[in-house]
Amino acid sequence: MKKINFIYLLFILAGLTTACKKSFLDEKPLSIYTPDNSLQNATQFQHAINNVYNGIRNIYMGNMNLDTYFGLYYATDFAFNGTDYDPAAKLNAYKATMVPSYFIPENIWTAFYKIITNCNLIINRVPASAMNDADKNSYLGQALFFRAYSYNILANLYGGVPLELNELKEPRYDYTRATREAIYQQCKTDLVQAAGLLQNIDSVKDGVVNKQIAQHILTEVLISLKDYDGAIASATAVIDYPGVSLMTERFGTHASQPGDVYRDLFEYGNQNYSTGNHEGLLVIQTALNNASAVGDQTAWAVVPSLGGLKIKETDSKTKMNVLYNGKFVDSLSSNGIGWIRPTAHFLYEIWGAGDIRNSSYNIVRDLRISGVPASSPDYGKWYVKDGYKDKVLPADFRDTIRNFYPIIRKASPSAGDFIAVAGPSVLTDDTNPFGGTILNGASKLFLQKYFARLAETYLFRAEAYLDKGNTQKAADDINVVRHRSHAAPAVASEVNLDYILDERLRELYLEEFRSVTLTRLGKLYERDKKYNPVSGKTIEPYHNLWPIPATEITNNNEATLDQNEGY
Amino acid sequence: MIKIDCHQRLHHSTMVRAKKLLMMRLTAMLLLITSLQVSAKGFAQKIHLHLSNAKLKSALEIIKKQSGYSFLWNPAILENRPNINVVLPDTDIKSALNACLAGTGLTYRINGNVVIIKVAPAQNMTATAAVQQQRSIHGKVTDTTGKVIAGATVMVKGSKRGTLTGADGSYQIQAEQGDILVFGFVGYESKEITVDQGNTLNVTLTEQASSLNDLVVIGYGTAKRSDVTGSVVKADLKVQEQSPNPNIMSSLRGTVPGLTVGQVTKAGSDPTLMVRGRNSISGTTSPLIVVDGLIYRGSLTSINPSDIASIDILKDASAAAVYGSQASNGVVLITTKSGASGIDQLTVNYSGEYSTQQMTQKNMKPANGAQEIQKLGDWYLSESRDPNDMTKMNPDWDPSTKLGAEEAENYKNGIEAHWWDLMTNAHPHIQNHNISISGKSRKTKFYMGYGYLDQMNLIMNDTYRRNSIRLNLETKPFDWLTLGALTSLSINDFSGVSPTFSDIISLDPYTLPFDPATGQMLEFYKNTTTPTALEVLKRSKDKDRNLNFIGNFFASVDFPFIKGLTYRVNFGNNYVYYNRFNYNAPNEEATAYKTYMSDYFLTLDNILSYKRDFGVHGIDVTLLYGAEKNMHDGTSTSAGGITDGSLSYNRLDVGDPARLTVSNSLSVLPWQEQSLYQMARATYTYNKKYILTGTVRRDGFSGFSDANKWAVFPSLAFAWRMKQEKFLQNVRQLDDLKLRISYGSTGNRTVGRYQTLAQMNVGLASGYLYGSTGSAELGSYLNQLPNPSLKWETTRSFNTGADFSLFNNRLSGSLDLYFSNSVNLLNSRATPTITGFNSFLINIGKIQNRGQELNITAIPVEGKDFSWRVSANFFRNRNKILDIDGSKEDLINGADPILSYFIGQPYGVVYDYKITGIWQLDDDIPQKLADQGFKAGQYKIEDKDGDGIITTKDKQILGKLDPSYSLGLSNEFTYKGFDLKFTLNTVQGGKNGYLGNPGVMLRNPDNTKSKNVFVYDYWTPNNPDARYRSIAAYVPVIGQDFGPYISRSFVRLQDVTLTYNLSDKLIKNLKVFKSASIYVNAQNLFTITDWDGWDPESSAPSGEKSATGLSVAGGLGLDLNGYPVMKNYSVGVNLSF
Repeated sequence: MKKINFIYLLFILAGLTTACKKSFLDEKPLSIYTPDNSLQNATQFQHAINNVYNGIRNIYMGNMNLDTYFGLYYATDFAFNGTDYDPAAKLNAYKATMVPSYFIPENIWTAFYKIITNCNLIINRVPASAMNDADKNSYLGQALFFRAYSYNILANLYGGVPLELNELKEPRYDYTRATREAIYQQCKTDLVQAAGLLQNIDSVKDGVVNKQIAQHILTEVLISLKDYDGAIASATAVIDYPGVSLMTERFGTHASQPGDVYRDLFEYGNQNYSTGNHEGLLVIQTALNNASAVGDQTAWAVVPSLGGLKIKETDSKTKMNVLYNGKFVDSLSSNGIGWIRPTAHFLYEIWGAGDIRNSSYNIVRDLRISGVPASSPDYGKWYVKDGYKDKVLPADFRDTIRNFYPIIRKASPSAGDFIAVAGPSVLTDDTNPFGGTILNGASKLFLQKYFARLAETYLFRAEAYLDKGNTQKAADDINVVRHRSHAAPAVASEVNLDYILDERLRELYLEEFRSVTLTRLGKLYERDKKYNPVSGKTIEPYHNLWPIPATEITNNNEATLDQNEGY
Repeated sequence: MIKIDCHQRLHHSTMVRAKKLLMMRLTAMLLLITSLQVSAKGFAQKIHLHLSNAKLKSALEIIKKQSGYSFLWNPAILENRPNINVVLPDTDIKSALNACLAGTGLTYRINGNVVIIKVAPAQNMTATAAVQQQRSIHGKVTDTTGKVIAGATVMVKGSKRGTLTGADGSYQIQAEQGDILVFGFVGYESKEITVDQGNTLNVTLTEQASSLNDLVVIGYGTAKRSDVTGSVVKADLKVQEQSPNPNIMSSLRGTVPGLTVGQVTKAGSDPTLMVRGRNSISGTTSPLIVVDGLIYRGSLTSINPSDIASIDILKDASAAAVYGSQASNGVVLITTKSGASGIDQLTVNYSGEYSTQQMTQKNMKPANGAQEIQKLGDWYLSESRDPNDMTKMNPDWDPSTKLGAEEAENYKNGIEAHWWDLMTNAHPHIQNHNISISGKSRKTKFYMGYGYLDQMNLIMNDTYRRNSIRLNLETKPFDWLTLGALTSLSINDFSGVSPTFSDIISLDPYTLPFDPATGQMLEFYKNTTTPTALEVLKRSKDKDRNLNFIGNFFASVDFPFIKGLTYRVNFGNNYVYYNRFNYNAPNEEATAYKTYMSDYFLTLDNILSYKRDFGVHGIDVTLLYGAEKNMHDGTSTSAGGITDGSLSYNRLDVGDPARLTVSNSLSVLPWQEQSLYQMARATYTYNKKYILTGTVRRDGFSGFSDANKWAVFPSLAFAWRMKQEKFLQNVRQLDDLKLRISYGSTGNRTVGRYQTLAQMNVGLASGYLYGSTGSAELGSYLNQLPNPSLKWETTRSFNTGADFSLFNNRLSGSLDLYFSNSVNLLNSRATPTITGFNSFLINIGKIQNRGQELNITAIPVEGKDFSWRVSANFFRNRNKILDIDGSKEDLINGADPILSYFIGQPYGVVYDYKITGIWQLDDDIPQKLADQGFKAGQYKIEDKDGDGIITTKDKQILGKLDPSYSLGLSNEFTYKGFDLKFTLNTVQGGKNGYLGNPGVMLRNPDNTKSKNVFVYDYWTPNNPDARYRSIAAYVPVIGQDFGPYISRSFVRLQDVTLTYNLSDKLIKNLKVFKSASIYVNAQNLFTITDWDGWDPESSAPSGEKSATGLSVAGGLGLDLNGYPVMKNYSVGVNLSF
């Protein structure tokens, strides 16, 4: 009995010890995709390219570090930072902040190189994939486009940057800078190839990269390469394509309400090609309550911090809110915090009479006082027209810096759209006595946004003509844009680069990344010094290029990445 | 010496849970060894004795029967002789007689076939008198907690007479007045008592803290402490019985040299653990936890401390080598209780405790209205101060202009909300009840315990509730077979919508959750549709529970054919089931999620051991073949846009269909990992003096690529029991002395599963949509480069130590010196982001650690009524980076001040700007610096390179993060039934050591202004000597999160306990308990430190980064996400029935 039991046990022992085979230690990735099994067919490449679009959108909607995003707009002739730090911070003091270790140049650099990495992966994997030629062309074209777009911005901001075109198997630490021209050349090569592969704007889905946007960006690249004829040809190919045109008549969701065509361009639901808008060459897509969407924080950043705006009420001599309950009203704009504070140059100096881009539908310059009791003599008065703004004491300087300045409506939806754009939580049941529903919170808006519009193509071509010395042709192109906005036509003699930069401000404010435009043209120092009351004080000529991030230089320890002069 | 079978059997049942039983047997054996001095030869007949408390006469009858000899004795001389306890299988007649007659005062003579029993010659003359004067002394032996000790030895000093206590701890012995009785038991200090007129002598034995006779768990087996060659520490668990820690390890803080235990702040969370400093750069520094012989991967908090019998910590390579690849951070071996007490006797224990708690840092409550207004003025300095004298307020300053409309109104009317009181518990507390039953029969023993712990922490709804049940069972169906089950279930409940500390602190005192006119609580803040913070908590729901099942089963076979050979199979199952359901309703649209996850950890160990002594040679061999498989599964679904929340998280489908998503987080999704291992350990003992242990372990892990799947970790150790040498045997002051030396390698499995594979992240969050009505599409991107060259981290360490005991065990302790080199350390090397990645893992770093540990226990006073016992432990570790990336060059890693490495410096130096002061209003700031933004109220930075401006070149090594040394000091005073204990704990940084960055988590100027905060020492014209810069600005070049580094050095009164043990007399009269004690305890009574913030010893949540992404150095500083460390006051009882 004892022995039999024992023998049983020996069998169990033998079984246990031999049960484990070699394959026991094979790794079983139960829930992980690898590049080898996830870049084979069109669906998978679609996922990969979706991520690239998402990366671009993250930059365009501030879904990265917010200060970084704002750095694409402010510390330029367009705006400064509205925060009232003393000492000045966040690019309000160029010398102190625009240093190699500062996070703004570092984050922008990183964001674009991440896009480039993912494009490289697609570009290198497409040829060997199992897709048909049409799909191959489509994904290759899109990836080439975004890689070129990213390198173009990097070259504009930083000058020559390291060029990486391969999918890496392991990290490198031996990068050196290519010349700025070499980068532009690579952009040209990619964009020319992309334009050949991509389909026209009217045959792709909304929001998808197309031949026209590729040619549009190519125009900018060719200008940088000083190939002005090529640029003109490329721009002309876009402008002449019958599928695109400037929107000159009222259109879209709010066409029947008071307004103008320029405002229509930015109304909720009016951006996509399929809605009849043929001016947008590429539209960044987003939607409220969509798991693949992110919100845009631009309006929140650029709208003044109206909640803090107060006046001394005449009867009680106490300070009271200008706006009802100190809250925003949907008839004015969405909520704001007054971070991107436009310059006087933009707000007051560049506008001519009749220009609808400066209409009260697009830039609100006054508002009625609703925050005091109805019995107050101040009730219903206009804040600017009736002189309240002028009475702001120097001690309350914030009021004029951050709490009140003309309100850019471009990134905000209109009354009635807020539920669709920011969700129901932003509305309260209260209404403002002078119209509009009170808004409650919400810093993110799910409103589609232009990546580029045809108007800019005209301005690019004007720039190319100007560079060739043909000011009349340049003026003609500018006037196409001005004509749509009922602005007085430009005359050839006044057209120069500064005019074009002003025109870009008028047409593309809060759309173009102003810092990128100015560094591209080497005009950041000059225009910032001239027009920016804050950062203009400390800017130096070497700031025309951003610094190479310090960590990139230290981490790249097998070769030297040269820093830009002056830093 | 005679080979004693009992010794063998003892080792066969290596059941660690049977510690008590083993001790009893062991004592019996020791008693016999000392009793039997003569070896007899030449008798053909073999005699087998198995006598337990047998009458001498019957013993002689048995020998007579078995041997076939004739016996002659005078019946009178057999009267009143002590009873006999002898186990002697397979012996001869002389040995048998010697054994039986030893200590009886009788002797024998063999005359041919006849044995004559007679009175021993020395006592011959007084034999009759002696016998007449001898009385029967009886009594009971218990330990300090009142538990009976079975198997304790009772000897008459100077004679060989002795007996053992029975299962109920009682004994009976013949002794005369003036005799000294010596009471002893393994692991306890022996006690001598002189016999006076009484016949009853009850004795209490105190446990030895570092007794060399202790049995210690050494991994896949146990060993006598005297035989251990490596550095193994047995933790003193007595502290635990009287302190209110939900977590066993928290009780050990400051009591075990070399073990660092972090503070726990959140209810039910695990403390951080570290043994002997840092051996890894990016890997875990937490020791491996082994429960009942099986690697434990669950939460420590889910193990009920009152079920734990012992904790042993393996520190050096030779001790830890049995766990090979996961042992470089040391191993903590936890053994749960098994059946105790006497045969067929049940022991019922109850312990109950109630603790109340208080915040240690009361000044870190959020600012009240007046403080908030003060802060606003300090922010708007230029407006709030008199331009002619910045230290005076400007009379025209009206802070209300900076407030919202409602807030300004409430400020003017002086009405404020006390958010702190509204969102915290006035009386945080812990209550803890444990009841256990244990017992044994001849074949089976069991322990059954139930524990209930209910903790209500400071922050509202931060609760933890644990219900735990344990059943440990062991049975012996056959002599050669032992079967056992060690099972437990614990249900851990963390449910409750708890605000974070930063939620509470951010609330503005003038934003009221009630109507200022009526005091009525509001649903929405006035004039808004935003629900109040309290309302959100009320509307939201949270259920957070996990169930932890442990089912460990074993079978142990004593091979009948080969003595000393045992085979044991351990089959470990640990299943953890997590539920996290959450419903969050901050406004009219609610979000909710439901997460279900399970972990299943499976272990199978085959252990073959052979232990036998051949004369002076002792051999102990253990072979192990085992496998482990860990599996995880889970899913998490979340919904948004729920407008009908009446069914909260139970109806996710009623939300917006577009927002119903399933998580792609790898911490939720299924994974699996496997490991295989073999281990061989051999110990050779010569003459109980020289002990040599060799261990080899081979480990394989699925997470490594094929090239590096396996690694081998060998070690060798030698111990010399010097006390056994002749030249020391006469040194009476020295009770024991052992020297140890070991060298070996252990590993750290830093690389986790799937880390060598290229990975694509696929999810909706990285996806896109096309068109106004486009649906969400997935996005995918490469989030990890392939990395097949990753391999095991290896630590080679050398340890030398001594264990000593002096002056009759009045002074004992151990000293260990170690030196280790860790190589192939996994490090994340920063890469240029041009590659698309910020970092890449490489096995390249080398770190060296050197350290000393000293543990001393002394008993300066030991009297009948009063005794004083003091123990101290000291630990010091120095580490040094030898190489970081293969180039032997320093690695300046990005902007993060604590991630740069310097060859020859310790791991974790602070590399940052040196603050030399704060610029004051009258200072003349050089223009170049002013251009950079330096002004009054900003830090004055040392311009190291002297170029007139501050750049990254001015960064320097300011000090290190690790401490210089730590010291724990425990005192215990016993007076009659009273017992007072207190523990002091200190960690000291020395010069520029143990640095932390308390201000790194403070808000930037914008948020400091707009949100509430606690009051802290920031610069204003009125506070020029402040520690922190002005709140309104920072200098961009040094960054918004830059702040001073401050030493975390502290001295803490960790624990004070006063216990009263009810006297035996009282217990006897009550007739309810076997023992009873009542105690009061206080924890964290005071801490002396220069540290700023929550606590120097607790750490920020792992992975917490500052606003600009900087690492938090350690120590919980002025951190808005922090959590208070609490003072505890407890009262409790321990009862045994």
